[in-house]
Amino acid sequence: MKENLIKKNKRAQDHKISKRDFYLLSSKTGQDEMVGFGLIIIVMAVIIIAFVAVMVNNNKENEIENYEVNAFVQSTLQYTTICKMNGVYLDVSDLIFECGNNAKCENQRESCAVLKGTLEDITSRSWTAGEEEYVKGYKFTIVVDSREIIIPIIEGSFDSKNYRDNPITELTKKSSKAEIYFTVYY
Amino acid sequence: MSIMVKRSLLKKSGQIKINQMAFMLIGVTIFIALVGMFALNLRLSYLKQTASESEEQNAYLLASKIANSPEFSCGEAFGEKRSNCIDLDKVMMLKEKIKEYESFWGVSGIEIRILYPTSIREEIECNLNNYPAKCNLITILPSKGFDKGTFVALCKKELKEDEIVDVCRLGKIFIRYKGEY
Repeated sequence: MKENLIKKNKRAQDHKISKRDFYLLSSKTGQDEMVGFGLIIIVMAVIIIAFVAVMVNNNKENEIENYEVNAFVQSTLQYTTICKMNGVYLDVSDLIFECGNNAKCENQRESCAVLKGTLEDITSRSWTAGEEEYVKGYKFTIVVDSREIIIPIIEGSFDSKNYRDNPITELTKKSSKAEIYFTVYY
Repeated sequence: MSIMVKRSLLKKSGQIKINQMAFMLIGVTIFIALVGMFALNLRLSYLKQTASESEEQNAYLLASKIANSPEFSCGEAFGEKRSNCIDLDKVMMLKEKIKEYESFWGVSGIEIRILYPTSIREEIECNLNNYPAKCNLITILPSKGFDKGTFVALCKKELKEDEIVDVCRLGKIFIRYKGEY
């Protein structure tokens, strides 16, 4: 009898201990849930930040304005050169077509040589290109009737992905068509 | 355990869980707030860059608009109508009477520089005696520092070999906004 009672008490005590343990475990389960939820929130926050960063980077690729380059080309075409033909000093736009015809100026200079020299001087004076400069390089190309009339005027490097160019400037005179391309790399 | 102890423990268990949830919610809220502030900071820096590019565009457009205004533009004085062309003779006359036009364009500074051809390295202000061959700077409205400028053709009637010819040079017009900086 006594032994049975002792055994019962021990079982009861074991039962109580296991209930205490169970209580402790339950409270720790709540803490585990909190930690798990916190981890989920952290992961979600990281994903949201990554998404926002990608979205902002995509928005940064704005179309670069070309007003300055276009103004340069339009102004350069009006420059009065030293090449005289039929008693008139030609501007750059007229000289382009005369160069396309391989004409000579009244002072016997080749029109293409005058054109190239003038454009080289103008671009070097207007755009300072170099590795340590804001403008890394530029390229000036003139095509008349699908033919490059002068060797393209190039300065600096073209490694940069940032550039500004003019909308293709087209000139027509009689049956000839000239296209001027000018690109500045930043 | 006695029933009273069990009840008190159960109550405390619920309170502890509520506290845990409250702290977790506070933590989550603070975390989300930090994330939101970070995202907003990124967005604002993008807006600053956009604003800067927009200001640059406005400066170019304003310079171009002034260059093509009747007070400056060549009009049809040099053959067909030209854009981005400034009549130097007109500008020099305007410079003499600029006090009457100080607030006309809504800008605080206008300056024209002759870029090519010029062999002059230092800045020499143009006047009626030395322009355009012996000078390279025409200050219409003086200002300290300028915004962006735009390229223009600077045209003038000149006497060459006993005849009047149209001669155009390459220059740049600079504008300064009013009330900035």
